[in-house]
Amino acid sequence: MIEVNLDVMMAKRRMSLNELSDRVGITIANLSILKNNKAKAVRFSTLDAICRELNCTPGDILEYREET
Amino acid sequence: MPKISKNASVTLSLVCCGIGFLGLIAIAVMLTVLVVRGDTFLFGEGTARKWMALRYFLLLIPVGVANGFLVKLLLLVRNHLVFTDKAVSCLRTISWCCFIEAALCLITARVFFPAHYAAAFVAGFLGLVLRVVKNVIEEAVALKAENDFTI
Repeated sequence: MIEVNLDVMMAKRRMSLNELSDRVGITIANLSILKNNKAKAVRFSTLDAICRELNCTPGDILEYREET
Repeated sequence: MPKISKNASVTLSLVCCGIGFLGLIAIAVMLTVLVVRGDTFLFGEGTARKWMALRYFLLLIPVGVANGFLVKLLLLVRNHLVFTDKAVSCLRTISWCCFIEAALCLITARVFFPAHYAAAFVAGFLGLVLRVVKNVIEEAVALKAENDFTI
C-alpha cells in the first residue's frame, strides 16, 4: 500500500497544516485527508504544489509498504 | 408536456407515496370488513377462509414496507444524498420487497386467482429492474467516493 508521509515532511520543514494549506491552495480538510492516508488519489498538480512548498520530491512524501 | 421543478417533482412523488400508503390502509380496512362479514367470494368458506384472508394481508406487507423505503429514498433525494450507501440500502430493500411480493403472488396464484401470476411477473420484473438500478447507484457511490477523496 502507498503511505503518505506528509506529516514527517511538514515536521522536518517546521510547517503547520494551516500554512501548507495556504501555500498550496487546498483546503485544510483535504490536506488532512491526505495526511491521514484517507485519500484515494492525488492529482499531479497537488503533488507538484506540495513538493514545491516543502522543497522535496514525491518519494519523500509517498512510500510503498507491504501490507501485513 | 409541462416541466416541473426538481423540488416540486420530489414533493409530488412524496404525495403519491402518501396516497399509496392511504390506499394500502383502505385496502387493509376493506379486507378486514370483508373478513368480519364473512365474504365467501374472496376468502372461500370454512377453515380455508382464514388462510385466504391471511394471504391477502400478507400481500400488503411488502408493498407497505417498499412504500416506506420509497419515502425514505425520496427524502434522501430532497437532501441531496442520492449517491450514498443509505440510498443503495433503500433500493436494495425495495427490490427485495418486490421479489417477496412476487413470491407471495405465486403462492396465492396456485391456490387462488390465476391473475396473480401476472402480478407476480410484474413484481418480479420490477424487483429485477430496481436491482439493476441499485447496482448502478452502488457503482456511482464508489466513483463519487474516489472523486471526493482525490486531493
